[in-house]
Amino acid sequence: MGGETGFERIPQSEVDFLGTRPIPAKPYYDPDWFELEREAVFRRTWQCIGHVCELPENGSFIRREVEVLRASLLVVRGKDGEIRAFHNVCTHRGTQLVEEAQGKRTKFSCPYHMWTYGADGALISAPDFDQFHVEKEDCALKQVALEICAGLIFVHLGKDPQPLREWLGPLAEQMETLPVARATTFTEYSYEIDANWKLAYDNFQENYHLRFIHSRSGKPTFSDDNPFGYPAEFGFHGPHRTQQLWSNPEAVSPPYQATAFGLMIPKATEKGLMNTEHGRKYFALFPSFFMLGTPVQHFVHVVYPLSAEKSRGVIRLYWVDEDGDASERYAREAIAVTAHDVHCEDVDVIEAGQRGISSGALDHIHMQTQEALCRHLFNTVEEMVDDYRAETGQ
Amino acid sequence: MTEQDLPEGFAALEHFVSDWSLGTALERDAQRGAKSADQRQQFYDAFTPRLGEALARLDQTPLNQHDEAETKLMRMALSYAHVAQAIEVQGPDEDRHARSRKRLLITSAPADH
Repeated sequence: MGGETGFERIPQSEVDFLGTRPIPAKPYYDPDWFELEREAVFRRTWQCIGHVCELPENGSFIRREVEVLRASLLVVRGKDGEIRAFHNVCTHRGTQLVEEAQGKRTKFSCPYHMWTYGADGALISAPDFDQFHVEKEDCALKQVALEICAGLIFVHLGKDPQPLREWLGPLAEQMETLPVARATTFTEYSYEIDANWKLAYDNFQENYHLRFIHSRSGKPTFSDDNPFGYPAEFGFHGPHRTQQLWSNPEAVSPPYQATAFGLMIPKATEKGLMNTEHGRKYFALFPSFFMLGTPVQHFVHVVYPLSAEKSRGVIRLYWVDEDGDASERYAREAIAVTAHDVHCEDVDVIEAGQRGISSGALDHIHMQTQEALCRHLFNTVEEMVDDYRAETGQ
Repeated sequence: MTEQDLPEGFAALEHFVSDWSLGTALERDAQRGAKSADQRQQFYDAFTPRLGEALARLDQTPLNQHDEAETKLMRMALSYAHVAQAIEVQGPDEDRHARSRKRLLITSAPADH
């Protein structure tokens, strides 16, 4: 039975299918396991690497590093308006083509021997090309599968990728209803962390820690009925998962935040952003992508693995239209500060967890019913690694 | 500094301009951590009753037509959000929190452009 706020915990029976076993600790620090994950997980899934608003004009480009697959990508909007991704690698002798993180160009020249490519990846010219033993048509930049959902750019570096929308299932359509699909700008902050990507990611898909680590910043989330701020609902969609955040009817925001949200809501209403049935949904797309659907503090958080014990996180609050006036500018800054403060509080404790796990002191770690999303992530990773091992005989 | 640093009517806030009128969110976040609790509190106490008035004044002009004085006031309002988070939310935990913030740097914000 719910208490005064009507909150009820998600019962174990809903997540029985995930099992209740202790989870092996080794995959959270073992370099050999990480090597398997590169191919078994990250080579076989779509990775979100940006947003179409970063490529506003034909010739706009961004360079993105996908360290887990040792890839540097050049993402370009071509003359035809199409966005394509290429390996940022000159086809002559492999030199990385572009150093800048972003910009606008019609051509890309390799600094080494001036092989020059168009925005569509075709080799346009190369000095003394008649001395080579290959045709220009065979020297285009190596293209990478790229698809867009809700304005977000996803790439797949494996063979024969399943279409993105099929991979995302019903979540694709839900994401399309969110402000991110119309975003034109964003606030971004990022971090590097001494932690395995799963350990870092898990922190953001369980609420069990909120009252301890976010005792001040998370206060509006807690009530007597729901002292941990647990979610109202879990959803499982193949390898992906969602949680419906619980709305605390007793929440009281600090005054400056109440002002910011008060300024923002009419703006979001004017832009038609408030009518979303997925506004309290937290999307966790496999393997390492999050998005919070809330229209006025709408963020995407991707954890990029760097090594077995190192990751990089990039968090973006997406906004629709440039700041319309001073009030909107203030509200966006204040709302970003609120989110940033919460995310900052997690870094130290995640690293402390990694140090403990990496010490090898534990054979297993434990996950309770309300940490079922973490369990689902591990189960999914393990299944993919097992399949890969079976296929490759490793 | 002259009295024309801020739009007319905001002269009482002039002495906060040099500390709190900062161009990027990254700088504003860093300044929140660099200033003492007393300095944050003084700015907070002075700006809190003027925030609504400042935004109403600044809303009268499109952002891309703000003059120097208006830009300064706008940037101070943005700093206020950072300082208010320190005071209204973090309170006695602010110093500890400041260390964690150095790990998550704000790389881009709409107001930076």
